[in-house]
Amino acid sequence: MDFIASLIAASIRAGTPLLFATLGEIITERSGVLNLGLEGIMIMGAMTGFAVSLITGNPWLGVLAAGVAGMAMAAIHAFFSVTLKADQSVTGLMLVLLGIGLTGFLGRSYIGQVAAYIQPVKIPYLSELPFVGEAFFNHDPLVYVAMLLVPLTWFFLFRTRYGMEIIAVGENPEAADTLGINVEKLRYASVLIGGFLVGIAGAHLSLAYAKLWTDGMTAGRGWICLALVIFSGWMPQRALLGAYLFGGLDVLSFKLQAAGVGVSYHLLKMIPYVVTILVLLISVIRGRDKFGAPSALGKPYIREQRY
Amino acid sequence: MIKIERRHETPRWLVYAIPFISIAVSLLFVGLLLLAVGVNPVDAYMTMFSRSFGSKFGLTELFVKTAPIVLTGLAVAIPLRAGLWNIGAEGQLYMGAFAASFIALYVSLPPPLVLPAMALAAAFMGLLWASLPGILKAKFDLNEIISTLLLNYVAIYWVDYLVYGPMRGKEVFNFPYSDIFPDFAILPRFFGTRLHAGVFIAIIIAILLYLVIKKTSFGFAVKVVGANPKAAEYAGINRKRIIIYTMLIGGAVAGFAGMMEVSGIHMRLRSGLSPGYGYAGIPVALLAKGNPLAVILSAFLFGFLYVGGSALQTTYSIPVSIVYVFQALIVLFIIGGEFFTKYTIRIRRG
Amino acid sequence: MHMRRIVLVAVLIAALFIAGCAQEAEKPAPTPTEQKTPTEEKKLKVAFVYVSPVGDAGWSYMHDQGRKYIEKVYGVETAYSESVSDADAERVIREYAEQGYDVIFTTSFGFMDPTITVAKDFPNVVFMHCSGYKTAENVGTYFGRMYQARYLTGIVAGEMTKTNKIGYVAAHPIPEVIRGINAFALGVKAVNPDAKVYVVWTGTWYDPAKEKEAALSLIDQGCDVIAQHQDSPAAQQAAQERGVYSIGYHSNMYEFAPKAHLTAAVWNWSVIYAYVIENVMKGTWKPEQIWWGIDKGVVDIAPFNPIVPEEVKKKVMEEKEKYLKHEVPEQYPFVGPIYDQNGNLVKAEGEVMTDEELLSMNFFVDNVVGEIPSSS
Repeated sequence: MDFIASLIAASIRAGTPLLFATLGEIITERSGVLNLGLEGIMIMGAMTGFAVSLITGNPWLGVLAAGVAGMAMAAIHAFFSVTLKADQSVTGLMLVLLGIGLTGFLGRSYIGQVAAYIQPVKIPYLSELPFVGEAFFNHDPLVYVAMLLVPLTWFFLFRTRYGMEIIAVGENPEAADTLGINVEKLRYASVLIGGFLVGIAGAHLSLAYAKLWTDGMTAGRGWICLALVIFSGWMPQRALLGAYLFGGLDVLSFKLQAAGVGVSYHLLKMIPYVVTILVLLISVIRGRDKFGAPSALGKPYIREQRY
Repeated sequence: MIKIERRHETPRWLVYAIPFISIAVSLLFVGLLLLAVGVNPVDAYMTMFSRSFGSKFGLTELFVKTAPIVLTGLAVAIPLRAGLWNIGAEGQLYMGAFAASFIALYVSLPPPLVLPAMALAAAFMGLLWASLPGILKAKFDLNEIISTLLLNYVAIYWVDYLVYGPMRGKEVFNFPYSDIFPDFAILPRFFGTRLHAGVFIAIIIAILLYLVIKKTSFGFAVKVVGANPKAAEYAGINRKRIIIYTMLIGGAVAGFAGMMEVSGIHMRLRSGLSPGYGYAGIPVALLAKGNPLAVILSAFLFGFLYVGGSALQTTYSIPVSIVYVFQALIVLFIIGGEFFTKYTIRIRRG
Repeated sequence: MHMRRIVLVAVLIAALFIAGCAQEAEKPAPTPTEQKTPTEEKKLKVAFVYVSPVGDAGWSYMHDQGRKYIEKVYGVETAYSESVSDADAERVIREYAEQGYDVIFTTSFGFMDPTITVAKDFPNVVFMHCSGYKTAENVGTYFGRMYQARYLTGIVAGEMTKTNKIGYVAAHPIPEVIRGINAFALGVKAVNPDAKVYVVWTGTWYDPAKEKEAALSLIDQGCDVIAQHQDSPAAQQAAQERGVYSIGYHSNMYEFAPKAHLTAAVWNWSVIYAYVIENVMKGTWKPEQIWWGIDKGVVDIAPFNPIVPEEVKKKVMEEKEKYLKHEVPEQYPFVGPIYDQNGNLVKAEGEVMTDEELLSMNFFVDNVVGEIPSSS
């Protein structure tokens, strides 16, 4: 029992950065923009958050700064994708290179430093409960923020006008345009919001989860989030499940080893990707309409162009 | 107000100038970064040039780094001509490396046959790895960016799994490598440097593919599919087949790159075989506009960045990651610049 | 029109080539090593190749301390590259050799083959490989008998544990790491025969997030002292977070975990680096396999955390004295009786393990819980 409780706790811990970034990318992709640069944005967020926390001594300023840094990176993507109407895949990939390159270069002096961190909080009374206490009520505040963000994102996308416009822009930008919706502005907004959340994901990684900075520390999480967006069918609630699941796979191998069971770490790491491919395959073979993807995903919107 | 207008024609000089301007602006940006950490950019750039071009070692290293990028550039360029994004060159490379290693270590063949067998196996494995995304795209219009990307990770972890497990060597003290390949499974090197035979083969492949694209009806069909899928259908071209074939070619070429790396450079299977060659192929293909000969040249540019970055690392203790910044900036500026070939900005009053 | 662009670029590359050659020709020729004016010694150029960042507070950090030492004391010109992966090692080593460095220290086991390969092409350069076993005419190896310090820290762990479960976050299942685990476990056993050492493999020398996760999973299993063979202090931080104890490695990791960190098994590479540089300067360098211990100061234990009780400190210092006074063989604690996990008597009472056996150690002693993944 204890093993499972600590596994759940670890999965939630590990899955939180994934959740933040996935929710952000869901918003972005819902507007029709594909942002492959998550890995680069996340690591910029991780470094910026760490650096600001180190300098100011306040981890929450770090979190904010990380979000802003994420937004700045995303702004580059938005500019190229929306204004310059360039190919979104390439810009996104270049963001990854940029992020990894810049942080490797600029982040050198922060390696080995100790910044102000975000500590776990024991929720009074609830954290004393057997099993669920350890599993759910003993985490750092950002974990709970992420959980809250799930229904918030859902509400935003599906119950507010702004959100519905974003979805419309992602499904049929021409129609939205004729309805007077400003396609470009909405896409910019969703890319920036997405970038903000991805930056925060990075800050959680360096300030709350690992509590340190080292180059390359995102270790592929950005890519997993791209898979997670697909896995969750662009729905926030499924993202919650997926994030904790994928996060859990990451830590499962150590838990098993510590308990005396040997499982290949690498086979476990493969699972999120294989599962996502299977999910893709299944929904595509079933003939579901584009497996839930926003129809205009990845295509730049050019007003006078006819496809 | 600022209005963005489509151009009617593009000034010729602009098209040629853009790559150079992009490179120049990137040099400027990176120069600022270097200044920020206390390195004189002029010194740094001089070092990069002289190290890459000014010595036997540097020049051969340039070729050594360029060769796999030529191949991955081709692996991206060929599908690109048909309008597809092969983001999976990295994974196809790894799978090719796996297949080549398998042959080298476990299949007994007469020694002269081993290298060709490794090459064929690697190309075939890469081809297989690309076939799934190709078929999914052709049959179900599944976004190939995502499917190739996901498979990259499966491939990389697969190789990790192998070297930590079933393919871990016996003479490696439990380290995650395979054993060293037998001599006849290693590409011959020249001049006492790391320059290996694969480099020349890569260039030959590029030339071959150039001829295929330019001269064959298959090549023509690919171009049509890429330029205008609807027109291709009307012309009776089987679009789905073209999609699959270009992906297969891309996968095969990337797979061969894997064999080259594992047999020419590392001489064993290990994790971390490629510092992102597969991804470097994307900007390379883009710069070359999918032209296989131009791929050679743009691959050189990126090879130069790798070698120069290595020189910076050893001379100034700058992390190699500065190379990535360069790569990203050059591509971004080129894309930005290309925008100006299609559109112009007019500033109007009122 | 494509051809024109191609030609243009080709011309540009040719121009670069010519410029580069001219650049290289203009540079003053590097001073050949044989030329020494009677009044002025040519400055020795020494390069270091690190496998992780210098700021890791661990392995590379300690090597870099050694580099700084010889730079200060002997006035040599040094350079280093950090975070060099095994795959990149050959290129980096070759670069330094090409650039005319006289001595190159390669500081990771995985750099062994690249070092040998490059050394063949540069017979006038001295290569020193750390933690390896292959030598050549111009390649020597060096290492420290870290297991001695590990043994001493094991005593501390054995005394301080209350759950009798001690965790060990380990990198790769190579003999060096296994040896460290065994020595540590023997130290635990010497004072606490009921305690067990639990091993989790991370598969990496340096990946703080993984190291932390591994440590946490050990703590979740009930371990209340965490030791490590990793290059970062992540496991120490995990211990501090959870309110258990920890044993550091490489350097004194106290500042990362002041409540948890009891002591550490630390390196002092300056001793060896000084020895090598002096020999090179005097021209007396030979390709030997240096393997020095606590008596020469290459390994040691970090100062104790104030919470460690006096009796424990005393016990540890007594054992340390045995090394310093040469009252025990260098291979101590690997003196029989030693049992493996299956209960077999590997070394009979009084028998001392040889250096060869130590270098190829591939089994765990009986109070270790964990597997050594081996190739099939």
